Amino acid sequence: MTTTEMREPTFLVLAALADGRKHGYALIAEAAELSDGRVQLKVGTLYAALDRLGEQQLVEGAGDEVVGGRLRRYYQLTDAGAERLEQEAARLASNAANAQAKLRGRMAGNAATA
Amino acid sequence: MSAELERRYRGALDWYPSVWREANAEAVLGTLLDEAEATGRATPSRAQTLNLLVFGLRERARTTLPASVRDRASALAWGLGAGISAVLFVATEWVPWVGGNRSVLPWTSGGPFGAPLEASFGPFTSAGAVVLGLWVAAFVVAVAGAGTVARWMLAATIPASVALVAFDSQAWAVLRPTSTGLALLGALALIAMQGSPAASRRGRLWLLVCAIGAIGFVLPLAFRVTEWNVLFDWWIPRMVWGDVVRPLPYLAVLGSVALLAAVARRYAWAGAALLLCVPPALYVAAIVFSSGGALALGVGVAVVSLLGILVYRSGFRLVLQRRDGRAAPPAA
Repeated sequence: MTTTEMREPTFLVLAALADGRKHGYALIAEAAELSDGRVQLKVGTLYAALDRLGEQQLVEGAGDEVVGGRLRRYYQLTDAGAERLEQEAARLASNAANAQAKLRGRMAGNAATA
Repeated sequence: MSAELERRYRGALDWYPSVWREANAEAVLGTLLDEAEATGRATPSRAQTLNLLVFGLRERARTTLPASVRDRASALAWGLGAGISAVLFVATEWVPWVGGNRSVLPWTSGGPFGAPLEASFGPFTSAGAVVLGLWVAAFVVAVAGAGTVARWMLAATIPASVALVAFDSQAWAVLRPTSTGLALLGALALIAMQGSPAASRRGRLWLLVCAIGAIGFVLPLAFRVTEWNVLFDWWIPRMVWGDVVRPLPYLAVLGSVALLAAVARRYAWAGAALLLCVPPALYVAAIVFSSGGALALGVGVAVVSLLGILVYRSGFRLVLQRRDGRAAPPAA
């Protein structure tokens, strides 16, 4: 499987599923919460991402329920999906740590010249 | 929650193919209604409706053609569009090139070109530079690996072309390229957006190969050498918007590619080349029908549109067989 860089909506969908199965709107709400409201997934975008993640076997269906006359389809991470999420989270954390280290170096340089 | 809201959401989901709707429409509708309830919405938002339209049409393309054909057709369209745009940008739009070309000078002062080439849009001969520049920039961005940004840039060329044609009659309108040239680039942009060859290193390599091949094909259409010593100057550009968008050379080359690929049993490439034949074939059909007058052209456009809609909505699905006889798996 290729490990090309993951787009943010895809990362947020996988992250939203990390603590258990969720249905469509719960995923949208969780993605918004994880991104501090910055990413508001549209429904078409969400299901296209879920289709793609399903084809890549990173996500799988976890049953349907009818609530208030509406069908809710649940999704969950596969083991491969959890592994891919972990890799991506580690990559982002490493990038963030590198950026922070550079910023600390810059601030130290500024303090020395002041 | 109103029945009217549900009815409108169901209507928006009609953009998706029937096979997809049978499997997913109720779950998606449930999500749409959950979201409307949570946000207190009584009517579908324009953004949500547009999003369903875009992904519905994309799903229809995915259902009709396998990813292997779409990605190859997309690479060919990216390469051809970028090749045409790069050549036209230099040969017809960028006045500093033409103005500094010693070979062209005699031609631009009332010679065979009829009138001198002058800048009418900044340093360019026409506002076509916007469309061509976007195409070339989008290609560079795609080869750099940012496929999504590149697709949006490519999508922007279509409204830009429509605006150039639509505002043509305004007093402040700037010069623009031919409608047929813009239509050809628009059709190539639509096909290019159907795949995502920029997502992999191998796909990006194919983008470059297709663009180099396309430039090799377009250059002889765009330039001619009248004397051998001209090789030491720049080549003389023809009035290339007319020459480059002539459909028959495209049909001949793309048809040959499709035939050779089919003989070599590279069916995905054969299908991709055939798909690329559609825009120039429609162009030829328009020329044939228009020679019979407006009524014949109208009937032709209606018949082709009807056939296109029937195929698109029929749930037709092309399935390629692998050489071992099994159906190819869906692309990951």
